[in-house]
This record gives sequence, C-alpha cells and structure tokens, in this order.
Amino acid sequence: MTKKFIGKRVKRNEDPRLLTGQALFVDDVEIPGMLHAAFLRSDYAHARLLSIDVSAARQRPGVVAVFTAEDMGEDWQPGPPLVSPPPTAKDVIFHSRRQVPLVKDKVRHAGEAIAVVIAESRYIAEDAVEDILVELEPLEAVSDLEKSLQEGSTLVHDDLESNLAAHLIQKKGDYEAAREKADLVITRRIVTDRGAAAAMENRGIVAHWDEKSQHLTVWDTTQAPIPIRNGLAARLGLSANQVRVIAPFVGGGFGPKMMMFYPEEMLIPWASMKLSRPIKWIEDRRENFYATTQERGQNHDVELALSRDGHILGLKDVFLHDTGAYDPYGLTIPLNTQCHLMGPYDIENFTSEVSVVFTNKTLVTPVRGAGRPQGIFIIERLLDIAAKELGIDQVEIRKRNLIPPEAFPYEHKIIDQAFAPLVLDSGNYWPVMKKALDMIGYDQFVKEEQPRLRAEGKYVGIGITPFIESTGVGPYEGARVTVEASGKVFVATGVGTQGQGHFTTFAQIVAEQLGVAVSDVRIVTGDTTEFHWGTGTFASRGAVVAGNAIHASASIVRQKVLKLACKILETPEEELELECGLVRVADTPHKSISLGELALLANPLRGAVEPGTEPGLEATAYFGPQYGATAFGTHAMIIEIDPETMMIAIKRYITVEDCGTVLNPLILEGQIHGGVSMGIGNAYYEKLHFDENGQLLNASFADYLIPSATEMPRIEVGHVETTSPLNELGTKGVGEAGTIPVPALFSQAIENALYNRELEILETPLSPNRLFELLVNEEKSR
Amino acid sequence: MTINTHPTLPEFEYVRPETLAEASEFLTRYPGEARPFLGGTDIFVRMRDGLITPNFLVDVKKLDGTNDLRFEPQAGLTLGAAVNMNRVIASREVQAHYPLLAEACRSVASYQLRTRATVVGNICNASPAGDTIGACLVFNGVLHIHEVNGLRQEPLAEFFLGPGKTTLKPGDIVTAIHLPLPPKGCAGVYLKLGRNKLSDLSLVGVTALGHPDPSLPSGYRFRLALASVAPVPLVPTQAETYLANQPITPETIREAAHLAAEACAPIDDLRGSARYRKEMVRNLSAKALSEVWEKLK
Ligand SMILES: Cc1cc2nc3c(=O)[nH]c(=O)nc-3n(C[C@H](O)[C@H](O)[C@H](O)COP(=O)(O)OP(=O)(O)OC[C@H]3O[C@@H](n4cnc5c(N)ncnc54)[C@H](O)[C@@H]3O)c2cc1C
Repeated sequence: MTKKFIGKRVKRNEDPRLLTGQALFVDDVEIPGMLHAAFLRSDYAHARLLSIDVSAARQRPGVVAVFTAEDMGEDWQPGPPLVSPPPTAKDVIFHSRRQVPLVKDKVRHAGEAIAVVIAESRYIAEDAVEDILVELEPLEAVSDLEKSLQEGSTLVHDDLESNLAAHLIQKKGDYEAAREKADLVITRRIVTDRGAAAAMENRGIVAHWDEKSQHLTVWDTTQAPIPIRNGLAARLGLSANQVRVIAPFVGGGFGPKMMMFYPEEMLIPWASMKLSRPIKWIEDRRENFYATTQERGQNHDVELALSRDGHILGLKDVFLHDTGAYDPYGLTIPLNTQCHLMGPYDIENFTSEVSVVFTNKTLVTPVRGAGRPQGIFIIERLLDIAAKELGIDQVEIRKRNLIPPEAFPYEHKIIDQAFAPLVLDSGNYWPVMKKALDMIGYDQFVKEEQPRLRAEGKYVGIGITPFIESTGVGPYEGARVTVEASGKVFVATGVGTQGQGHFTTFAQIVAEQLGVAVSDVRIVTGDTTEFHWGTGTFASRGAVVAGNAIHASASIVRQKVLKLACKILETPEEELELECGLVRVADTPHKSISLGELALLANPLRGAVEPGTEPGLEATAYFGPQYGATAFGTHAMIIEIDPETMMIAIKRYITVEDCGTVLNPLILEGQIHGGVSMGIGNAYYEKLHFDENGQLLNASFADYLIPSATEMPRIEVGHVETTSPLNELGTKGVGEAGTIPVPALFSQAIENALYNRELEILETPLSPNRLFELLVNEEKSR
Repeated sequence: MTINTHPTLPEFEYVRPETLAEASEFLTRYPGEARPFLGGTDIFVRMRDGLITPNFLVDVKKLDGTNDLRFEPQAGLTLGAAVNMNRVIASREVQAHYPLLAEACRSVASYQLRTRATVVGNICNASPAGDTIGACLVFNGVLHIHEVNGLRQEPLAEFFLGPGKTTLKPGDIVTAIHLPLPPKGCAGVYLKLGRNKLSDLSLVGVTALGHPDPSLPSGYRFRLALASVAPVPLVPTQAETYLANQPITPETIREAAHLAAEACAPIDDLRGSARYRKEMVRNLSAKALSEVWEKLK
C-alpha cells in the first residue's frame, strides 16, 4: 500500500514554538516562592572527608538550608541500579557500586557533590557554598586504566579487593583453532579515549512539593521521566500518583540524561519535601564537565586472523573499559562494544574478554554511540591494516566479509546489552555500501582524481566505512491515541524528547492511520500525568518502540472509527476511507462524516452504550520488540590534509543509511547531520584530558573544543530501505548512526591521504597536534 | 594540584569615575585591590576562575577620549582604549591604512565577543596569545598612558614583561594606542592557527609586515611578531635582520622562518605541544613572509 504521510519530508510541527522561543525548558519554570540550589563539589578526585562545617553557610542571610550526607539520615542511600545486573553465570563478575547523593566518607571523583545549599537566590546559594569549611585528606588517585588494575593500586572502593568492577568473557566458535589455520594474524593495541556529550542545555531540575495537595511535581531534563517518577516515589515513600515528572523540551540528551539517578535528581525533590518549597537547580557548564556522565575510554589488545584471500577467520579482543567512579549502568557499554566488534562481517570464531575498571573519574554511561564506535573502530582499523598487508583493496576486503543477505536473521551466538542472544534481524549490506561508493565516485576518485591531485602535491585521501547499529531495544513503550470532538487527534506517550522531532514523526504515523493532517495531531511526550508506562528515549529506540506503540494504538482507533462510521453512513467498512479528517464512502465522497462528529457520537450524553463497546474513539496499546533491530550504513569521505599544519578539510561527506522504513527523510537527515558532527568531534577535536591525579584539565569550552559550523561539511545522505521484520512499521533506529563510524573513517582517510608515510593510526580521538606527533614518531622509527 | 570544580564570580564593587584624574587617583588609593577594565572579556573570566580577586573594578570606558578613533594623515591612527574591535574592523581609515589591524581583529573569537573586546584590553591583558598585539607591534605602536602625575607615552615593544605582566603601575590607565603612519608601500598578513577554523585562541599566530626600504641591503624591511610561542608577544629580531641583509628569495624566506622558529620558547600545554608550535612557527612564518613578498614584488 502506498503511504500518504509516512516517508514524506514533512516540516517539523514543533519548530515554530522552538524557533520563536515559546517552548518550555526546565529553566523557564518559575514558581512563586521558589528557592535555588548550589552544590559544594570536591576539587580532589580522591579524598577522605574528615570534617565539614556548614554553620557559617547556614547563617548567611537568605540561606534556607544546607544539607550534608549526615543531615540526610536514613534517606541517604546510593542510587538504585539503572539496569539489572548481569545474570550470574560462569565467567561473569560484577560488583555493583552506585553513586551516592552526597559524599559521606570518601570522594571518588573530582566534582562529586559534598553538600547542597538551598537559598532565596542562586547568587546567595553560590556565595554560601564558599562559606562551607570542608576538610579533605587527599588520597592517591587512579586515573589510568592499566595502572588501576595493578597490584597495590589505590582502591576506589575500599571494600573491594581491586578496582575490577566487572569481568566477562564471550566466545563463539574456536578462535585458537582458527588462528592456527590463519595465513595472517594481526596483533595490535588500540586505544580509545574519553569525550563529553556536551549537550547545549545542561542538566536542570525544578521540584515542587505541595504540602496541601500532598503532591510532588518535578521538571527534569531527563530522557526517562517515567522511571524517574517511579524511582522518586519509591525513595520518597510516596504513591506513584503523588508524583508527576515532566521532561519538557530538552536541549539535547545524547545519553547522559538517561543516567539515573543523578545525585541532584534525588536531592532536589527530597529537599523540596523537607522544606515544603519549590526548588530549582540548573547545572552550569563547569559542573557539566565534572558531574555529567561521559564515555569512550577503552584499551584493546586485539588479534585478527585472516586467510590469504582476506577472509576473516577469527577475532580476539581483550579489553579494559573505564567506568569511572561507579557503575550504575552495569555492562551496557562494554556489551555494546562486544556486539559491534564484528561489525557487519561474517565472523565465525570470536573471543572477547572485558575487564571493567573503576577509576577516580567522572562516571561513564552511554553517550551517543554507547560502546558501538569503539567496536567499529577496532574492526575497521584491523581491516585497513589487513588490506595493506595482504595487498587487497580496502573496499574489496570488506565486501568479501560482509554478512550475505540470505544469512538473516543472523545469529551471533553471543549476548547483547539486554543479556539476550545477539541476532541481526535483517539486512542487505552490499547495496548500501555500493551506493556510498557510487555517490562519492570511489573508482573515479582513486583512479583519476587522486593521482592528479597527488601530482600537484596535495594530500587527499578517501575513506569508506561500513557499520552496524543495534537499535530499538525493548522492553516496551506505550501510547494512547484519542480522536477529540474538535476532530483533532491527541497522542500521549511516555518517552521524552530532546530534539528528535517526535512531534512530527509520531504525528505522521497517526495521520497515516486516521487520515488527518499531520499538524492536527497533537503529541505529548515525557509527562507522567499524560502517560505513565514506559522506559525512555535511548538506544535509538524512540521511533522504533514508541513509534510502533503509536501505530498500534492508532490502528485500533481506526477500527473503532470505521465500525461506528459504517453504522452511521450505512456503508460496509470496506467501502469507507479516512481522508482529510473525514470518513467517507470511497466512490461517493460527499457521503461523509467528520472525525469530530464521530468522536461526539462515540461519547453520547444520553441513550445506551452498547454492551461490549467502550466510549470514545480512543485506544491505548503497547509495543515490545522480540529483540533489537539492527541498522546498517556506510560513510564515505574525501579529505585534504594541510601537510604543514595537519588541519583537515573535508571535501565530501557521504552517508548511506538503511534504517528500515523511513518515517521522514528530513528528520532522518537531521539526525544524521547531528550525529556526524558529534562523530567529527569524537574523531578530531574533542578529548577530555585527565591527569594522573584524576583532575580534568580542560573543563571549559575554551579548552575542550567542539566542532562548529566551520568544521561541518555538507553531508549528502542516501537511503536504502530493508524493513525490519520485528515490527509492523518495519523501522530501525538511526539516532546514533551518524556518530558510530566517524573515528574509523577519519583514520582510514588520513592514512590514505598521507600515502607516502608509514602511518598507522591506533588511537582515537586525534587532533592536528596529535597527528603531527604521530608523524614525528613515525619519522623517528624509520 | 587541584582545579576548582565550581568556580563563581566573586563579589566586587563597580566604580565609574567621571574623569581620568579621578580614576587614576582611585586606582592609586587601592593598589592591588582596584583594576581598570574595558570590555571585561578577559577580566571577568580571570576573576571567575579565581586567578585575580580585585575588590573594585574601575570602568574606564566613558573617560576622556577613550572612545575616539582618529586618523590624521600626518600623524597616523589613535585608537581610543574603549573602541571595540568591531568598530576597528568597520573603520574606513583602518581598512585603508592599516588593513592588517582589521584582519587581526577579525581573527578574534566571534562578532558577539568583538562588540565588547578592545584592542587596548587585548594589549593590557598581556597574554602571549593576544591576536591584535602583533599588528600593533609591527606598526611600532605607542601607548598613551594616564598616570597620577599626568600623561606618558610608552612604545609597545617595551611594554610586556611576562604573561599578564606589563610596565603598568597602580594608577596607570592606558587611554589609547597610537600607530604611526604605515610605511610607504607596505603589505601585511596575519596567520592564526587555532585548533579549528574559527573562534579558538591562537596556538600560534604570525604577523608579518613588509615594505620597500632602499637604505637596506635587501631593499626591503620585514617585521615579524609571533603569538603564543613565548612568555610575551615575540619579535624575532634575528629573522628581521637576516631579511634586511639578504636578497629576498624562497630560500632566504625559509631561513628567516627557521630563525623565527629558533627564537621561540613555546610551552607544552593541552592545546598544543611545544614541538608542534615551534614547527608551526616555521611553517606559518614562511607562508606569511611569502604572501607578503608576493604582494610587494
Ligand atoms: C569567548 C572568548 C574568546 C576569546 N577569543 C580571543 C581570541 O580569539 N583572540 C584573543 O586575542 N583574545 C581572545 N579572548 C580574550 C579577550 O577577549 C581579548 O583579550 C580582548 O581583547 C580583551 O579586551 P577587553 O576590553 O575585554 O579587556 P578587559 O577584560 O576589560 O581587560 C583586560 C585586562 O586589561 C586591563 N585593562 C583594561 N583596560 C585597561 C586600561 N585602560 N589600562 C590599563 N589596564 C587595562 C584589565 O585590568 C585586565 O587585566 C577571548 C575571550 C573570550 C571570553
């Protein structure tokens, strides 16, 4: 059936509000009598808390309260685990150590909160923080991954024997046997380092406990309002109905806002109840650098075994994963890395051993990509090295190893981030890669243009990197769709929105079923009063999981509409169509009734409702996929390197995505553009520098560089659609796709551009300076 | 070493004197406690980061003559301390006679920032990374300074003592920077290398100015000033002297660039290694000198 709304380039419903400053963000919330919070944070990364004296702060005029861990009494508890711990099994170690609301005995990372001041204004609160006398005994800090596991290393958690947070081995086939048979074994150490998500909006919370109505309202920049509501109710001893959590418009999530519970997220509502006053806390940028979660530190020791013709026989990877001071997010990231180490390739023999380590650094939880870019970086680097050693073309070696279309669903025989078997649901990889090659003109560039430009003394390089992205994981989302008497449709769903265009794509899904204009569908996301079942926006799952729940609800409403209209129009359902907000008889279009009139008739004031029917044109439905859908894509890029400065100019940037059914190409391309810009940051600009004392040396945008418009190329996006069999819409997620392959792509293109150097890039992120250093080292080793 | 994880702007008093005399008098009365300020784009950041903690900030933006931008065909350009960089860039006279200064101003941060940032603030802040200092140096800028006992003039070349350190004494207020008439037939260029194309502070900045000078063996005088590669904005005189005495060729330009690189003592920091910076001085000096030479030939 051809679609009328799905797949169309519909402009975003939400943009007029956003562009004219009419959208509500957390910091826009103003409540009479509202107080403001500021935190005392540790300047040390590791220190024992000896004493704390808040008396002067309490006396400062305008200060309403100061709380320390001591003051919280029984309410002081580590945050709940965010994901369930791994099943107890052989080869699995997992020590759960969750973040605490305020430091009680020991500081474990710089920026950890020690006390909170609540005052009449933020100014007073900030000044009062300076009044607090805190005595900290600095301890040796662990910052380096390898050192943290060495015998005798200082312990981040004193009750553990070492800094090992978790250990897991995954095996498939027999790597050692495969290695025996290999013609070539490549062994390398590959390192990835940390970056920040750097969302434009920092975190923020407003909590309002109303004593009279015994009700708590919380505005929170979270990606997961419903779990926050449930957790707050449980911790604060309230019924879930007494708590309303609203995640209004949020200026970027990117994963860290999926972390639960941040200390501030628990403390501000708690303090609001203690004081019976509304309280606001808005994170500043410096706090964001220290206290909002980060990602990507891993050290890999890898081996790739190949046959002479470039077929991969096996892959072995032993790696360390930095989880920072606590590990509330369990094994999600390292499992994602393991699930992406094999990329889109058919690899039968695989061994991966991960050790998760505690360090005295900011917590690590998923940041757009969430372990996937590391996996892709490893396998793609190894393939580039293999291609060179075997004298096979970079594209050809990949083509030879791609999982063939007939192999889907492809069972990987390892477990994924949900501890379920990893299955790649569907795919047809080569056409996607081929399209990227065609779009960038690969053959022509390599055969004609590049030699010509090289002859002119230019350093131009090309890269082409395929990747997979696991998306749309469970457990479930739900939605309620209601046709209102106005003829407009109201939809409520539980996921939060941080710029993904939900108000438009979700509306298109509804419009497709009910035949109304996209602008006549009003969507509410992230308000627990409107819808209170669900998990959140993460893992590229909004459009897949919430999208299909909305589709399911809208389909039921469509049935209700048809059933009622069939009676009123005295026409069989099959002869009716839903168009332009009307139900009409297909071949006599003037015989019609509007959806609004039908909604009124479905909810009569008098008469009898037929037994077995429900009032209104409304339905609530849920969708939970059997397992996550796996998307595929390929990025290709042509760069020119200034050999004097190592600055890179991106001449062309191509992405081809196969994320199943495209709901709205405009929004999809927006997701890709944003993702690629983050990926470019990851690859060539952004790196958090921690010193050996766990001090973050570049906690500001003057020092931590994010790409801006001047670094962004024009991005050409191509689409291929292989629909997922796992859901009715056939969609797969795309939220992280833009980011995942970029570091691998950069490395490939840089090596290709610097063709006359023996450069092997085994690390990410890079920078012009770092590339220069690598070349100096290469020259020395010659 | 620890780093303040949550810096805030400390309390201070804002003072706006009516006259220069009053301002100097106030600043002298509170040495170490009071500081003059213009756009505040440096001073507030440094205060927030806890690097300086003045009790009084003395606003000198409204004082006599500090808002004037004046070009005199016989004397040159006098740029009032409070003139922001966007005004410098927009000035017809600057564009006509000192395009290098406009170019340097354009390289600073963003349009928004330049509505506040001033050239004199850039100079008084005395950061080796200051982007507009090089242009003022190669044009032989002279500072006009109001002190308690009157006025004095000080060549910019002698002004810098170290990072953030200058010859200014308590009570001194720079009222303007004066640039003499540009040398006849001169051409200049400012090359700024940041980690990105726009808005980063200089990793390395190279200002080059050249003009015909028949009194010299080479027939040309070249001036160079380097940013971010030494404790103070650096003039590599060896390179300048070399080019004064040698015929100008690609080889001598390369040698001069080498001398410039040898003159620097950059530091390793997060933004760039010393090794990289030194190499960039070599490459960018060669490029800047060649570009200037192309315009002169
Ligand atoms: C986001 C951002 C980006 C930046 N990017 C750049 C850049 O790309 N390139 C660059 O060079 N700089 C940059 N800067 C630094 C700064 O903007 C410039 O140095 C600017 O020129 C300072 O001018 P101002 O008028 O704001 O100085 P102010 O902050 O007002 O003053 C600077 C210093 O000079 C002293 N002072 C001020 N006026 C006088 C006076 N009349 N007499 C004596 N002493 C005085 C003050 O006490 C203070 O120490 C950036 C700053 C920010 C915040």
